[in-house]
Amino acid sequence: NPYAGLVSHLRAAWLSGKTRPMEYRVAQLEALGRFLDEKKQDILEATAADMGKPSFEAYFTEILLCKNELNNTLNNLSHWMKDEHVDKNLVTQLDSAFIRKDPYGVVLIIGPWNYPIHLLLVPLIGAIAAGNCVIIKPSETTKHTERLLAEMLSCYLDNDCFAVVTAGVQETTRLLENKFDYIFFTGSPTVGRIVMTAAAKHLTPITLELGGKNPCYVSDTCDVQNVARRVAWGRFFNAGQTCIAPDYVLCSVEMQEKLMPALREAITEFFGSNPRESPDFGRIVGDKQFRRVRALLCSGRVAIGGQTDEQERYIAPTVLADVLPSDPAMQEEIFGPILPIVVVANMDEAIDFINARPRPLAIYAFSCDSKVVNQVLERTSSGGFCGNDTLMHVTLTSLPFGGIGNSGLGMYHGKFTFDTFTHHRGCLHRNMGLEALNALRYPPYTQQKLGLMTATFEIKRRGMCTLL
Amino acid sequence: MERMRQVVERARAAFNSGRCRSLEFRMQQLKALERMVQEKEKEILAAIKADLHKNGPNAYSHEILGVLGELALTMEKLPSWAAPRPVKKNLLTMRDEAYICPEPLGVVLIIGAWNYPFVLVMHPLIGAIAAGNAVVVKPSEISANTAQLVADLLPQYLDRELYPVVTGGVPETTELLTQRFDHILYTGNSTVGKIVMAAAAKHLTPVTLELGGKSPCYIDKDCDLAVACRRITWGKYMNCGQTCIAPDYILCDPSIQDKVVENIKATLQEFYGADVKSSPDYERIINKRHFKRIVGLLEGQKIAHGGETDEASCFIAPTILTDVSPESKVMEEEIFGPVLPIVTVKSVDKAIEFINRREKPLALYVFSNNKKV
Repeated sequence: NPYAGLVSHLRAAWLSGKTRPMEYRVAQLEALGRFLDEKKQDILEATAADMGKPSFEAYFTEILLCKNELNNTLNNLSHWMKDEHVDKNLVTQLDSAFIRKDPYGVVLIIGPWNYPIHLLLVPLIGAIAAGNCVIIKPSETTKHTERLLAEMLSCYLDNDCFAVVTAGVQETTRLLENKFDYIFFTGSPTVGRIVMTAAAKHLTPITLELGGKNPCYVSDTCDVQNVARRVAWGRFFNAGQTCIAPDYVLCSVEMQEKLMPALREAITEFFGSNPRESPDFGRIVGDKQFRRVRALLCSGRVAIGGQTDEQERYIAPTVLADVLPSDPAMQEEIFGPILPIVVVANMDEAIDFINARPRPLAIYAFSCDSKVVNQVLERTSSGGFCGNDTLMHVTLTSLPFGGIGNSGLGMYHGKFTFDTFTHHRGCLHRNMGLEALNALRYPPYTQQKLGLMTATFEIKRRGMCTLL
Repeated sequence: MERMRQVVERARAAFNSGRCRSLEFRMQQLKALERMVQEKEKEILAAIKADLHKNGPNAYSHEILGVLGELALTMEKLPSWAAPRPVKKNLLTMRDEAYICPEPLGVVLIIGAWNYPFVLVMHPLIGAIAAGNAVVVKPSEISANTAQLVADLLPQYLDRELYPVVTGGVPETTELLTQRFDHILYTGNSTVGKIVMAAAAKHLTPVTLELGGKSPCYIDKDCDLAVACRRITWGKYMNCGQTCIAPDYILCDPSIQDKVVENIKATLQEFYGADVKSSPDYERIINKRHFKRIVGLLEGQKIAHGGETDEASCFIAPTILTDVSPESKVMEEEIFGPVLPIVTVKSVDKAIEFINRREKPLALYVFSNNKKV
């Protein structure tokens, strides 16, 4: 077991209690903040080298959003850490009853390649805030970012308690053989199953942030240009490599007709007449992924875009019209800059279409009629939901971010991250005195004792008691 | 085994029909459950008595009182628990509506345990119904009478398609676990817990595992020993030690070991009289297999009190072991029986070290007048 030494080193640090005091956690979190500030340029360069990530996008997702989470956590940490006192009943009136926020211990965070800093750092912030020791496993697909994290994070964080492990598939399998107290994984459902199976061997609790095909329903009553802009933004951000990107559009044949020129206009507005030359449009992360996404182009008919360049791993912002459910683009999560439009007769058909498929990470509904938006929300199930926009619901730290069913289990962002990595320990401190009051519960059991105990224990429905 | 697939599919079709979404429907089902507990109290107590030799007032307070309380609380709070929760917005979303919407998961599987066979099925069931799910209930076959009763009663009071009961042992449960659920709640031991989680992993099904362990009980030199020992005796020997949160073993200074034994002995006399076997308040071990397992743990141990057994009735007397070695068998597995080992430690730091070297338990108990301890 090549990682046994590392894991037991961190476990020893954990047992020493080093990570428990708030001052320690604040110091580590502030160091993370300095990492984001001082290494900003390196981060922008690494993500550009790895996948042609436009620096605007990289700054927004990899730095700004992370700093948001960091500041939110630092501002609230002392409050979150406090014992939470709870309601007591008659018997425990004089006792102290509270939820103690305990760290889990040694946790493992496995990151994906699409937002390689953000999707590691945001969970890491919560894990540190909650008082854990952490092993960080960045994606081996984004080599420059992986190296940056491996070399530089150790200069900022306490190496006794936080370690970066670089590992490919084989090594990660070995890493997962170790016992962790929590595993946080972001990636595909297929690998999610492997991680959960490995976790089951040690009964390790997990959060799985997975994916799926996020449907985007566009009703006939909407501001077409606005919709086109918002959908195009969500779809083509990071060249489509976003777990919550609108994966496909469901709309009527008339709306498809109207959307097409609007989408064309939005794409031109964003990236110019030749997106390949735009500094604001990304590239596919690797050759394997490029070939996979390119193969999805033979679905429906290419209405906008469709150009590719294997050398650059460039796929133009593409819209496919009249796509059939049986087409390749509808068989898997696209994770690329291709937007299929599937025609449906009406909202009911759209809802049935969505419900016949695995539950996605996000569902989008566009309509001027709020009743329509609410109908889609009420009659479907997904990790999260956004009406009349894309992606925005995950930028609010007060909303839980997570999947359901095939798109994942667990949730985070804001306080939810702290809670994810915290064991909520139910505690009761009783008085050694007043023992006479306990007499009711001890044997020998009598009907009389039971009657008295019932009177003190039972929660009665309010408004249901009859006055004698 | 086709039966399992059909049961789950029927529950899923019933869930998809949407009828369990409305609060009115959920309340109606919860009220029906409440009526069931009130109307069938005698039958429920009889089943528990047959399974665990537990008498009326005892069974009522352990298994019925709590359930009625949970039902009352849930019915009162349901509207507020199920309501959307608005959240804080930022500058960009100032004009938007942002909220967390509680939604049912779908078809939930609840696997019960045998030690508190009624309440460990009912508590999760109440929450699952309240949250708007369809529920497949699988009571433990080891508490056979209660399992049969649950299978008979639930269909008489609840929607039959949404809340089916499946009975059976290991083969039936294994088959059931190949089906896809939206959440599995399992109460039982860690070994089976791993099997449940591994089966759930195939479908990425979230799980709640209520398992067990050895819950340590530290007695400080500075405490009211009489009170401490009474409370420990109550927690340890209740249900004949078959409680997941029972104090499994004691850690204390060698100088107070004898006094601890004396106090527990005195309390046992108070609770069960001179002849424990004939006390109506002392339960029995659930079956021969567990009886033999627990008796095996006594081998080579210093029995300071108790030790009497009777296989025919699965009776094991309340037993205390002293000067127990941390490496002995009784300190390896969760005892889940009326055997209380005392392991001596020289200080609270040593006790903490001892506890931290072992697997994390379900509960931890400390008795001391000193708040710092």
